[in-house]
Amino acid sequence: MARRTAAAVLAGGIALALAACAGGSGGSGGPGSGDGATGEITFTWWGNEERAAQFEQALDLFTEEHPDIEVLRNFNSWADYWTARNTEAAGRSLPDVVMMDVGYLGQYAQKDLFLDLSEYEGDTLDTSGFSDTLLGSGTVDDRLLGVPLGSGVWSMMYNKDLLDGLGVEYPTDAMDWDDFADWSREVNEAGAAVSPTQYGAEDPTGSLPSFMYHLMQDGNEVFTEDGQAAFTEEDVVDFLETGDEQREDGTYFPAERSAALTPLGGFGAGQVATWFNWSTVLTQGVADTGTENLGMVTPPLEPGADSHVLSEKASMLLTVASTTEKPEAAVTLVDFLANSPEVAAIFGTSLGTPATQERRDAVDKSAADVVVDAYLADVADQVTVSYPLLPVGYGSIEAKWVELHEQIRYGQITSEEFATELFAEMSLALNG
Amino acid sequence: MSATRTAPAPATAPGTGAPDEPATTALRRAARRRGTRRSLLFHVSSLALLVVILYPAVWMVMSTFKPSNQIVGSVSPVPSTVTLDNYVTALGGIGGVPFWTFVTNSLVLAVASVVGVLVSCSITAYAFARISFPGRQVFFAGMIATMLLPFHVVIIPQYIVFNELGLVNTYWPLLLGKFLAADAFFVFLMIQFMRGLPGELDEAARIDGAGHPRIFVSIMLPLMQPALVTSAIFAFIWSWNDFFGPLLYLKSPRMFTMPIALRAYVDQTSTSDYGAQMAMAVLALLPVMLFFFAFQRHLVGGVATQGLKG
Repeated sequence: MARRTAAAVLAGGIALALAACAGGSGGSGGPGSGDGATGEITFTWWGNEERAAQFEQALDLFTEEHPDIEVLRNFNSWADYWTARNTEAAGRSLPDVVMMDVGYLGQYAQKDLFLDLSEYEGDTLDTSGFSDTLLGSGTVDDRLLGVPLGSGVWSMMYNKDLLDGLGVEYPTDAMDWDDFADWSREVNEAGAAVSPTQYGAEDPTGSLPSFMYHLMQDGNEVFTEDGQAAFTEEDVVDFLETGDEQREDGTYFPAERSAALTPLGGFGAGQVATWFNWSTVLTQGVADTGTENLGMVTPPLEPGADSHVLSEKASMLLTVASTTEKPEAAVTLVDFLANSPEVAAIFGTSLGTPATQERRDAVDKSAADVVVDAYLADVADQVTVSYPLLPVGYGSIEAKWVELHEQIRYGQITSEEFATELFAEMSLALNG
Repeated sequence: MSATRTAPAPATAPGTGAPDEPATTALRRAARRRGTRRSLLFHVSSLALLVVILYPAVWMVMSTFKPSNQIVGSVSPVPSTVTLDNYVTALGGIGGVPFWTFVTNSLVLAVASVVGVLVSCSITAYAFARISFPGRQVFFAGMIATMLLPFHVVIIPQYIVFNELGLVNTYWPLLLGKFLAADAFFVFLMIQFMRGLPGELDEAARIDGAGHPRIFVSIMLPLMQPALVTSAIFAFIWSWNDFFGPLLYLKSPRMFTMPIALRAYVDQTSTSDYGAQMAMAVLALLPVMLFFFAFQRHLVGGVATQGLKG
């Protein structure tokens, strides 16, 4: 009796397993031949479930317009996305259309994983609405590899609710770093009475983009053409030392409180008044802080300067794998996602500020979008350089910066040690 | 152990001491009091330790009832406002794929893994333990060697092979190995168990005319139950919790398993819904915990017998 039940369970299990396998294997294959814009293509992106639902809508629109092309979808969260793509890249089996970040574009381009889209320009792919500086960030060695979906500019966001509550004036774009430090102390003084205490700023030297912004102010290159650092250890030390005084007298938000609030950060938790980041993340700031009442200005000026040097960073690029069997269909999808105003209306500004004017007009603007738009219009004449081409291994340098900076905030290493370790990491990452 | 046994004693103690032996009674009472104090200390300290160990789990479960924006940054497990929204979001599915699809996928994979491991590993183990064939030592050494091979070394070659075979985005890459006894851990566990079973049983069956299949099915399998149960539990839990395999091989959201799906709520480049992620994590933990509680007696029993028979 017992044996018969066991056998039945076994048989049932095997049948279940086989059925499962059979169910899944339908995906591969499909109509084999054809260069035309038909067939089955795969598309992958990173993001949360909200973005998945938006892509679902956008791809439904695409299927309506191009009933001959079937798009198989896949998505992962940011960190998992790169694990999966790196494995696929090693197996030379990337999906046909891949969403790319500028930080990884150079690395993938070097392995010749992407199709040159300039061959399709003006034909299947319309790039007339894009600015040259923006298309430039998707171009490697004169080959257009990625079409940007959106862009952002480095900025300083501030929490109006918090500042109103404390009775402190909003920061302005005319402040230099000394003014900013004084202003932060003013916020701290008023914020000391609140529980938990509120601060003016979290250490603004904490990320590599901040440092790049600092370098660009003096018209310096960040990375050379051949993918090496164009700055020295002294540059790094000088930059970090701009925060020494504030770190010592406790002007900046305490490191242990930042650690406790990970991954939100002091600004997201509503305990710090300002946040240095790309203008594209304001939506995230609204979600994290729970208030739409946020403002955005340019980060402080270098001492003695009277205007900013800013650049546009492409926030998402659509690329086509060089191994694709259906290039026409893949480029058709890229063109649709990059140009259709209906698609822009679905995503709003969650992929960055839309790259073309037509798409910007199509977006139903939220309060956050109005703030970002006003900021971009305000700084338009200061966006004078194109964003540096990021070298292979940029991602690991950026991560190293954050890791080392935490040790600086805890007082475990000096600025000189920081610079030495950063350069050690760079010599591995940039030449690896 | 001894502390727990002495604990109930004081309750029945008062008034039972014999009146003609006051000295011994006093001594006994003192000893009992010492015992009580010691057991009290033991219990208080182990409870304190338990609180520390369980705190993260309790925090996670309680956080699922908090509004999403009150989770990160708060160490208090008590929600100020109780809401079920997180569960509603989690059960609402992701990108048009219903929640139950993920549960079904995970279950199908876990059950199929258990079946694969039990069938293939027990047969393989029987061959190694009971049949003397040429090259047995070499094959055995090879099997043990696969246990020493770090998993990360084989990821990319394996991916390339499955990709060439056109099996990516199917469940085959996750199951094929299980049905081909590629899990050396389970094979080894079963071999060790079989070696502990008396060989006389096989001989007796052989004299009665039984061949290998008959000996395996009628003699070995019933006696191997503890080893099979242990393997089944491990296979289920490992498959249920596996993240990396499904991440690499499953492309279509309709085929995602629970561990992949619950990551979809937290993305550092866009807004994160921590509440929904926590709720999803709790829902993902439930089946595997129930499974563990139902079989934990067998698990401990199985491991204990391995130890004795080794």
